[in-house]
Amino acid sequence: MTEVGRKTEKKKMTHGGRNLVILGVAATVIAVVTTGASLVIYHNSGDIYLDRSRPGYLPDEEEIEEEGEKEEEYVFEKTGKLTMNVIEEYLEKLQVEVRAVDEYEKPFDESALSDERLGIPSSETE
Amino acid sequence: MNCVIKPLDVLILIYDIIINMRKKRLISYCIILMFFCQCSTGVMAITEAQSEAIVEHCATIKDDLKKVQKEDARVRVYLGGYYETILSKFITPLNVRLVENNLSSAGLVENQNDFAASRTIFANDFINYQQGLEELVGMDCKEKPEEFYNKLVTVRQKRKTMVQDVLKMRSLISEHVKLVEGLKGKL
Repeated sequence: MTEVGRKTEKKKMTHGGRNLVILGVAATVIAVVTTGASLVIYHNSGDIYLDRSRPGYLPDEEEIEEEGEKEEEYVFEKTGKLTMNVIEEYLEKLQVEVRAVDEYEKPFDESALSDERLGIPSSETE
Repeated sequence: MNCVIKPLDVLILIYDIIINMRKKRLISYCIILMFFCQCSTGVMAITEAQSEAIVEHCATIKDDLKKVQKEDARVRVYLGGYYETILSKFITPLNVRLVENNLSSAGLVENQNDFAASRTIFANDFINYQQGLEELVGMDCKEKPEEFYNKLVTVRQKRKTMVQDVLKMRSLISEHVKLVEGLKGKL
């Protein structure tokens, strides 16, 4: 093989290697973008809550705080003297959780599955 | 009465009346009994208008059910989280501290046990309800509108149970607050 031929062959190989790197990078970028998009859809569509409502799956601590607008983590101390002030503080902090529970008006409202809501004529109307 | 009279059942009954033989009497009674049992299992006959509406709006109904399913899952996750917080960060440590201070209250201990048990029931009932709803969403309402409607009725019952569970949890929380307020007089 001549000198020129050898050089051309080497150039071709260099181009091949570069293309392979570009292909790899492009594939990685596409994978990251599509995975990110699917995760956003998974979260925004609410499907994530379906999966996390399965046994053993509870919300992340930061999510409970976010929903309940809690200022700080509170855990009642298991030890120490019980005074009127301690009980008052306990009740005050407990009320924050109770209010968060009460924020859900009519959870599992029965009307959500009613004939009327689903557009099915009621059997009594016939 | 919620009852579907199937042609086969009627035929069996007619057959029973015709034969009316001693040897077959026992079997006949069993068949009659099974017939009446079937009538009382809550299987509902749907009207033609309902059937047509289900077939016609099948896709819309399913979309609505899916929305309900997602919203319920969200509610369960958050309510479950709050119940867990109330139990593990408030009720249980308070009872431990009461014992340490020799102020243990039988009412509060009972309330804690009820709360823990009801929380488990709430979680199990939700699994049961969601499974029913999932089956309902997966059903072919265009081909089997009657079966679909009967399943819907069952799921409604399970949803009612969820409402009862939530009310029970809320009443236990109120009871706990009252009991703790009652402690003030003992301090």
